[in-house]
Amino acid sequence: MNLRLRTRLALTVGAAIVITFALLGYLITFERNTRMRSVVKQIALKVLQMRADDLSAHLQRTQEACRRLAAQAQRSDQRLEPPGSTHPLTLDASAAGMRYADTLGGWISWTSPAQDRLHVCETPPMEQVPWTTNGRGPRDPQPAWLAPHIDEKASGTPVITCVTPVIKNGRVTAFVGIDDNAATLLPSMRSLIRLGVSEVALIDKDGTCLIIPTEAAGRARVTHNIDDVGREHHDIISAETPIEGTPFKVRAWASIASLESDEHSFLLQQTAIGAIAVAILLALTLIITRTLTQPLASLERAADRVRRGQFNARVTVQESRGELTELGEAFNTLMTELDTRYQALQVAAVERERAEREITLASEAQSSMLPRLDMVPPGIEASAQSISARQVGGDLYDLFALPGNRVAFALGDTCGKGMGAALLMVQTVTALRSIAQLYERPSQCIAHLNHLATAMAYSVPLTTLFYGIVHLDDGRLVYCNAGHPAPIIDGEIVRTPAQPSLGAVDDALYRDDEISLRPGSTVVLVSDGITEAPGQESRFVGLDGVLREVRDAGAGISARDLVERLLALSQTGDADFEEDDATVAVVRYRGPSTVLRVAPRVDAVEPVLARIDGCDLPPADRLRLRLAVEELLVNVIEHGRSATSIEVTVVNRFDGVGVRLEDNGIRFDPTRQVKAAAVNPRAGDEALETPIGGKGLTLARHSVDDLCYVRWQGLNRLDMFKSRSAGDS
Amino acid sequence: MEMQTEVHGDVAVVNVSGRLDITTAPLLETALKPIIEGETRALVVCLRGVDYVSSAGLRVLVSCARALKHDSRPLFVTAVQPYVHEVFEVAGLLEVFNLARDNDEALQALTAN
Repeated sequence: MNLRLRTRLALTVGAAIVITFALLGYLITFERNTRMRSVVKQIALKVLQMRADDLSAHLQRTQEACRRLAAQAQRSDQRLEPPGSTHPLTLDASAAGMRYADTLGGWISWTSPAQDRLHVCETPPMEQVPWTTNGRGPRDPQPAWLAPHIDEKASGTPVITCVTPVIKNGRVTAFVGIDDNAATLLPSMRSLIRLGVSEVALIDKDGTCLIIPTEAAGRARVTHNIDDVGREHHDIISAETPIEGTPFKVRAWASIASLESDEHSFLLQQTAIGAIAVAILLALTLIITRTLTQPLASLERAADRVRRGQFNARVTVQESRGELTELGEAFNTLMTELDTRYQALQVAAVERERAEREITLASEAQSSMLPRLDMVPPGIEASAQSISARQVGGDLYDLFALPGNRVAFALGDTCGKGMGAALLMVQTVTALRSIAQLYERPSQCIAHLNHLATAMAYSVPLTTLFYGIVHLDDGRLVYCNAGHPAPIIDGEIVRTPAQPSLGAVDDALYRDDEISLRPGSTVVLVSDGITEAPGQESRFVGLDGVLREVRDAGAGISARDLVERLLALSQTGDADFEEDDATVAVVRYRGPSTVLRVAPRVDAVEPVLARIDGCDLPPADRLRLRLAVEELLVNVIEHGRSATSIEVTVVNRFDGVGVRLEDNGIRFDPTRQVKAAAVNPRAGDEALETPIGGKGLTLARHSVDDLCYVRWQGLNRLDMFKSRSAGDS
Repeated sequence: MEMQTEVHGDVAVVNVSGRLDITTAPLLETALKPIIEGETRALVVCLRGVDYVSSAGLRVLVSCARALKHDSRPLFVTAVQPYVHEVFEVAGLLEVFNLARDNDEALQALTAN
């Protein structure tokens, strides 16, 4: 349907209104017609009555004519000639001076202009009167009678004969009769046909009945049983009129069935029209509704598919140009666009996921390159942390032990951030670790790294690097600073003449600087992610800001806490500020340390204990530390555990003495054994039976301030610390 | 570590001085062995000169006590220095030994029995 939606709606409503009115009209007409039929039936009855009256009057007139004829005949002396006589008697029926042949006892027939025949018959011999053939004679000639019969000679024409006796001298001398051709009545009856009047009957007083059909083709008949008439019809209406002066009456009847059959066909017709109208209304409504609902249903299905994530859903668009079609086309266009974008998005999401996975792997790889600070020798307390602006960063820090009781540490910053900086950082760390053991002095390493950086074929961002080596036995710090912010040592910025960053100057010569660390000295290194973070008052935090923070923190703060505190400086929370990679490293020199490597034998205990005896501790503290060391050492030796070597490191800290025992035996954590013994203490005789070995660990735990166990790279590592009691020296 | 053994009648008195550790404990064990195996009625170990006892030393003392107790012979540990006393306490051994202030107190207790 090539119609706008509004037009379709208007059509639907219009059709509904028209058809409703049509139905209403039909119902009204039907009711009116029913009433009309009843009126028509009454009118028909009236007309029938009139026709019956007409016929009756006609026959009366014939009767009257006959009577007048008889009266004339009575007055004249003319003989009435019988039928077929040689003297035709001309009788002017209309004229008063009608003459009869003076013949009695016979019939005179005369054909009137109205085709009526006149019979005249003389009285004697009455028996010979031929009209008695119907078995009915003038038995009661007074005053006159009518005889209906069928004139077989005239092709069965119905005839009504009116007979009137001619009386002379007190006796009947003749009868005068007029044959009234009933067929002449027919023209007046034709109108009855339309009213359903099929027959008209002339009924004798004794029931003899001449039935005259109203139809031209019908044959008249005579019957003696009036009740048979009309029996074939279910229902008839009839009208009857007596004929004055005769014993006859006229009846006309019509079948109501014929009337009602008309009515039935009328009803059927009306009902059919109504049904067709309703059917058309339904069909029209259905069609128009479907043109509305089908596209909407299609849209709904498509929308449902979209909801389930099927972006290839489309609707079927019809050829017409209604709003629904436009909506469908708009939907399809939208879905095509959506589908394209969705697929692009999925591809992008996969790509992105892969990229993120790679970055995550890179981040993990980079993190794994950073040193585990568990590795730190006990003479050093170190902590470092790096926050990358992105998942991978360009800052580096490293800390590792060197032969000769030395510890090397480095902190560097590669220009830029992200993946490029990270790759360079990785390269620098790898190179540093590779060459660190080749050179005695940090400046030599730095020069080597600079050579590597400047020798690269492509342009390389600069890398600043602080690289220092702490001599743990005497606290000397030797370092080389290649363009990195100066270190803060013991609450002071230690500035030295600047040296070029790595990669800046070919074959640059680097200088070492040296400073002596006291027990407890703290070296703080930061990257520019800290110093260039926005500060509270000045533009940047700056190295001064870091210094202030270090001083505020005090000397007692642990390296880990100090790192956290300094890193917080870079966490400004300022969204406008693009954070750089921020790294902080804190290295605290605990004090001079000595390392003793012994075999796991009992005789090796003595030199170790002698070293403890030489510690700078009050005697009571020293004895307790000695007990702990002896017990733990004996535990390792006596229980074997496959150890082949034991390394003892003694650190003379400013606040006490730390001892580290490391053995390469199978895993054994004495601190857990102590806990188990504490849970289940024994006393008295029972204690006597208890193996003394477990007591040793209890004693050791009891004797030191701190005892912790770490399994590290195949080594059992026990760190203990005995603090210097207050007031003693 | 130094040891000096005295005999008071049927009671043996061992005066110990020095550190009783993993190195010296076997020496004490060796010294005590003949006494435990002998006919001595009781043993007094004086720790007046001992300022350091490790679990190795404790083990010697405990095994000695265990052996004597088997024959219902008393063991007295006398003149326990504060730090050694603390070690005994931590090891849960205060109940194991008969402790006396000095040798005389221990000998008197033995005579009283």
